[in-house]
Amino acid sequence: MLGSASEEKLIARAAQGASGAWLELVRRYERRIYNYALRMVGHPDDAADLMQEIFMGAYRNLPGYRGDGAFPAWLFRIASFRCTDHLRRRRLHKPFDELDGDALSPNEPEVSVLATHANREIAAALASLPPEQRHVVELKFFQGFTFDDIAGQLGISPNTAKTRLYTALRKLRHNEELRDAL
Amino acid sequence: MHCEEARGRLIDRLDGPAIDAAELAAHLESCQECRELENDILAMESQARVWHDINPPRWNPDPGPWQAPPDHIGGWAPHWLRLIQQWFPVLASSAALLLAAGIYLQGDRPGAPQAPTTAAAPQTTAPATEALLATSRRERQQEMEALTALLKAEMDRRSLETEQSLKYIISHQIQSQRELESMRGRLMQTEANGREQL
Repeated sequence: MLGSASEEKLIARAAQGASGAWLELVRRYERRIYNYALRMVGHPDDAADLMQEIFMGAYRNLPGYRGDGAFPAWLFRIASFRCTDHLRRRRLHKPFDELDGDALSPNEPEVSVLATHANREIAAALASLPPEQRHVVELKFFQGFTFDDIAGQLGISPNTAKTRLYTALRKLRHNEELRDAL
Repeated sequence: MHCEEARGRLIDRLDGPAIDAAELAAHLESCQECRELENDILAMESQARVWHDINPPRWNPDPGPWQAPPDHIGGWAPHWLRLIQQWFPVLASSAALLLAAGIYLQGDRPGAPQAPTTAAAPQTTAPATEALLATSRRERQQEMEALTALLKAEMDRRSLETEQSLKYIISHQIQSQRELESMRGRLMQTEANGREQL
């Protein structure tokens, strides 16, 4: 019954406190959000925490969703904000010895639960990018948003989003993990 | 077409079909650098397709334990809490209005102390602001002290490690020096014995 309900109806009902509608919305997006978080932060535990934070943030902001844009774009705006915050916090709390980059070795135990070899290599390749470039690559190639959507989600101009993507692509050109993944 | 324009169109093409696709294709034929960018884009698109989605771990997305949406009286809160949530803004506004009216009426009574002038107003609010600022300063101070202590501990740890490493290196060098001297003594002795035998 709920599965066939339109998204707008689900959102409206969830905003009025219908937990069933909210759970259905979560069910529709949790896999996408979890994989997004996994690629962004590289650690399955962190990704699970981040996913929960994102949905909690979305739930609290549901009354502010005016339905003037697509729900995924709105949800990913929250996700981008939470993710940026998470990466900033992680950077602040890292010990001095670990401040030389976010890159994860594909053999680290944290990424060993990533299902396939390709996933591990992709996560490592993305981790070699600075967070602001990683965000644009993720939202463009993995989520398929337009540059206008990405700009809105990250609070930057579409041209800045394009420049970041161009820089990221050049950086990934010589990435061995990326070549191995393909 | 210049390379800069071609790169712009290659990036723009990710949002939809490129305008003047033929012109872009012609440029790509003749420009290695732009062709590499096109290959980078194709590689990333392949990468996105190669990713194997992973199921999230089990979790409880029931919003019960969370905060209800801010402008909605949630269905999960107990009845008494919902009543408080519903009526608190009205009660608070009414109380504030009554208080303001009381102060106004008291000020108008004959013989009542004069209402404070506008110049005096900052004096009444200043202590509260000062207290707030002092608290904030104290908190910042505490944070700075904690950070300084952390940095100091880290520097101490590193100094200790460096000292221990230096001690090890020096003692190792002294030991080596002694061994060398001993070997030199033995060699000289052997040489002297050889001469005597000769």
